[in-house]
Amino acid sequence: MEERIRDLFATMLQIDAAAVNDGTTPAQVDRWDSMQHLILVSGFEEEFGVDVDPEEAVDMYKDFATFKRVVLQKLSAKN
Amino acid sequence: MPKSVFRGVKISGVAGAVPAAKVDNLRDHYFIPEEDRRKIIELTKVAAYRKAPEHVCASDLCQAAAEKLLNGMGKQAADIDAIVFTSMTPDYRVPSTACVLQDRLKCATSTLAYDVNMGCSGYVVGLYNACALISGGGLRRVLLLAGDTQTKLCHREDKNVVFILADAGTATLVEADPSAEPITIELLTDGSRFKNLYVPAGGFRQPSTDKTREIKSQSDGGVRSDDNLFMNGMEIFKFSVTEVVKTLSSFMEAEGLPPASVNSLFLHQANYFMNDKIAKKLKFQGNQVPYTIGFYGNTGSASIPVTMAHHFSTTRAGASHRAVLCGFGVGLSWGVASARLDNLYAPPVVEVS
Repeated sequence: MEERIRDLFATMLQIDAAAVNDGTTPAQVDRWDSMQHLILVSGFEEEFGVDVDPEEAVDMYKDFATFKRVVLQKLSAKN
Repeated sequence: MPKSVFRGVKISGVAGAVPAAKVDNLRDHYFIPEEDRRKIIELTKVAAYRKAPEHVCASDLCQAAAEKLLNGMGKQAADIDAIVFTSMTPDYRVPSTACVLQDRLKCATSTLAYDVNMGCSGYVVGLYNACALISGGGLRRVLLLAGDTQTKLCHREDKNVVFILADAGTATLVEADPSAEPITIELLTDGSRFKNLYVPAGGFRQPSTDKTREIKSQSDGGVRSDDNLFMNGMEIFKFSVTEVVKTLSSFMEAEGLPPASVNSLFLHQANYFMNDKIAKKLKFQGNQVPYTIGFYGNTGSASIPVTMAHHFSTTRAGASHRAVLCGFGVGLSWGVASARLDNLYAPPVVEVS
């Protein structure tokens, strides 16, 4: 699942998935700006059928590790 | 700030005016790839919005709305005791645009007129002023004019703002009515965060110069000068989904207003994704939260009243209508109001060329 999250994340930001790791931050990715972040969150909600709380959407803008953790938590709560 | 309760005051009518000229987000903003444009539209639900031509100011839009409102309600300009104009985009730096509007609307010289320099919280702040003038000042009728032509503040290639921010003007008639149910308003401010949404230059702190007018690519991906509006989108999102939600929630609880008891929640039309998150967090149902962002975009201080005007021109308010209004934005400033909108008069939104 982690790989699927990383691949979708990379595809949506139009970057190489191999370049994405837990320490990847918005400051390191040109396209990961505030607007793209909300597009990312919305895209993951649609893809995985989950609903991200607004505070969680804010937290997810910290780094990829946090982004992934929230998505995994949502999937775990759903199943 | 403690909540203020205004007795003997009612909101009796609201009208909106928008520029006739449309901006199509998919067609017109070719400076970013089409796929990105489509995604932004899907997220914000702003496919198109209205943009005022160079010669049209917020005051012109508010004037058109005021004339429509007064004519429709059978009121005369002489009936107006005060004009409160709330906007970030006045006609002049001096004097207050409200003074200019007193003459243009042919109101009596006995009319009190002043501006309130506020943005997206401006309608609620203006409503507070209007209610106070009636409840505490003994006036009978206040014309609250809320409008912005904020596209004039934006650089045309700043993707952080140019897909959302739009222009509109509105007029609201606030009147004395001893039998009216109280209007309750709470206003809040956090000036420590003002730089998350502001125009750095052009005031007296940093006057406009050739250097401040220089267009640059910015680190946030936007393109603009220091004379243009800057928005830190993530910080504004964070503010909106934390502070605004917290205030709305505590206000409604203190007022004994569970979501089910509220007919309409009129939120400042920031963007659909954000507003939807706020409404869901507060457990409002979709049909309780009117949106006009798909028609008019985010129109600053006009967004709440233009949404009320659009909504009630097609759906009657009816004899019993409880509304909660919430504005939030520049300042940072935010406010919540609870008011009855029973039998509110609302003509169709007019277009101005």
